[in-house]
Amino acid sequence: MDSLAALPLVVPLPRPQRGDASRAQFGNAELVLERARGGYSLLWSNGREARRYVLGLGPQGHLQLELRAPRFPLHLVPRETLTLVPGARLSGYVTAPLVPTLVWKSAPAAGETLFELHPPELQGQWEEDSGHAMRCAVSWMVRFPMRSGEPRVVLPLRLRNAGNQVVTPGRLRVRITDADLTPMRGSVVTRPHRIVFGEAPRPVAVAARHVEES
Amino acid sequence: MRNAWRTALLGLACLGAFGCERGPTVDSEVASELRALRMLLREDRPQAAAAAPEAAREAVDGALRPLRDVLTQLGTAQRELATRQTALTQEMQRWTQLVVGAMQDQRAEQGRDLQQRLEQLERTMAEQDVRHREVEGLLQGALDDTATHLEDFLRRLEKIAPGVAPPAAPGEDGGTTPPGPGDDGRPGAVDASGTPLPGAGGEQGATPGGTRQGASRWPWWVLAFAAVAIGVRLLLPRRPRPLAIAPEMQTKPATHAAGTATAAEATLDEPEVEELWAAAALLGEAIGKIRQSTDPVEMDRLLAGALPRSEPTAPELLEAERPEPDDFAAGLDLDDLFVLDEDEAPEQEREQEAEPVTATPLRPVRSAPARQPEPVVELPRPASSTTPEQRIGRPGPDSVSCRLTVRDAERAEARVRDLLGGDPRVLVQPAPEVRVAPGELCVVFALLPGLPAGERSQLEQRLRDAVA
Repeated sequence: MDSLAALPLVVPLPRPQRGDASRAQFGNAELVLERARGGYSLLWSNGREARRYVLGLGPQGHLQLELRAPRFPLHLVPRETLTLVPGARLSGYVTAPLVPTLVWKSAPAAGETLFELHPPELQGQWEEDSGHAMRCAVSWMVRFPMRSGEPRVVLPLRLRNAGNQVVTPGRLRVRITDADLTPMRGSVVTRPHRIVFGEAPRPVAVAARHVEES
Repeated sequence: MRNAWRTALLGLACLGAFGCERGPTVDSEVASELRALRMLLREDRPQAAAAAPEAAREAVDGALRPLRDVLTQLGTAQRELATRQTALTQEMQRWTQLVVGAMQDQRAEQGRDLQQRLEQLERTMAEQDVRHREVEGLLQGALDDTATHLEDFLRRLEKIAPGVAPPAAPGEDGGTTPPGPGDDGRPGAVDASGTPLPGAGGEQGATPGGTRQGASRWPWWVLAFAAVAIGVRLLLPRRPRPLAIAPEMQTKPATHAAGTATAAEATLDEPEVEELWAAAALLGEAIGKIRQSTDPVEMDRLLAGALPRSEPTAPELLEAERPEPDDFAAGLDLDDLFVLDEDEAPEQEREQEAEPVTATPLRPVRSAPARQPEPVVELPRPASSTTPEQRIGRPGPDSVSCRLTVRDAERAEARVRDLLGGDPRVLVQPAPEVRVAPGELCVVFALLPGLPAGERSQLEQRLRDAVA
């Protein structure tokens, strides 16, 4: 439907010849795969930090870099103060970083995750009530964000206050999966997510057995 | 005195030596001949050196004589070539001037041709303009004649049927609107004052512009309704709304939420999801176009009318028992069909999912209209004495503790905190703990689960390097 070339989710990283290198770039980060004596050297750098990996690869297969959704639920912390009065709705967009992941594909259907290059914007946390999650500061946007080339996913959000009190959420819990990611309009988007505040938990109803027995 | 003695001794030694010698040999003869030849050469060398310049000069003159001739010929040829090249250059310049002049002449001719062509086109346009004016005049005259004849015809009609009210003037609807069902001249279609009567085609005659606009938009309505039907048909069987299904209709209520999530993930993996997205895009575009060309009130009315109004089925009746804040039919938002619901209270739902709920037999459908209040049983929740990890059912964070030997504890602590705070693999909650002990630092931090051992050890090594 739209151009998929702007921000692909999967970028193959061909194995270079001896003395040569292959490169892949995601936003500010760059990945350089070099063939060294006896193996491969992978250098990752985002301009502020650099990591070096040494890889031993088999004869069959290839490397590819995939943009994946965070493995844990996202806790989006808006930089603005969001306030919803009872019965109010709020629609907007936020962007969350994706996780560049290096995958070894030995077969078309099989893939082994070698390592994940976690962006510094994603901060892992563990809470007693929700377990592991990834926290990320976001800016609330009322229009579809412009493409930036950064590996981020655009999340359309719809907030609704179904309670009787004013709600000012400190964070928005969203879970996205790799299947939700769709390249569109030069960006990676997901389906809209609806978050309802103040909705009482529905009790589990057990039907009475005496209704029609008589 | 002493020198005299030495000379005498040397003389005696020489006499002794010559006295003891055995006579001349072959070697000594050769040596003497060589010595004599060397003496001759030394005597002849100054004479040869004096005679050599004259001989060399003559030899050089003889050797260079043919070369001088050749050089003279080469110089002559070079001068001839330079003269010829100058002549060729001048000739080339003359040719260039001739060619440029010819091209300028051709361009001038082309310019004249274009000018003539332009004048011809302007004349043609002027002629066509005149012709258009003539045609417009003819049309205007024909319209005037038609209006005149129409007025005469209407006057004749008035004379024939004096009881019928005169119709609207031709100028009100442009004079080109065909007569509608209420304008057929039947008695009773309009009253005496010309006001259209309800139910007799008067509404159409009252708003002719709106009728034509609505008639021109009917393909959009058809497209919109088809897109809505396709989208609803594709979406509803694949992603049922869990809240819209009564618990009585669920065979496994306790595991429904988890099963829904699994089914949603499985559905997203299917290739038919692409078709669904394509249909959604078409639907969105169609709705957008309709919204741009239609006021929202009419849009809501038409969409409400587009929903099928059939006899209520059992799930609808059961759903009707539960009051929904935003009813699907009343506050329909087509974009909500593609919205993913996020649960804001995951803990409570997980607790409910963990509850063993006995499956109940389905109630017959005929009992639904009775709307008897259904007894709702609040199931007991697990005791709060259990640990959080037991309640969640998952292990806690993967913590790492290490002791680092340091010299400057304050600087080392600052470096360690910076390193742990900037590494995305370290959890920010629970926050890393750095305790200063005499001569060492005790660092405890939590890592993301599933981190390979290599990255974990590399992080620990970075800590050691930071305090080294």
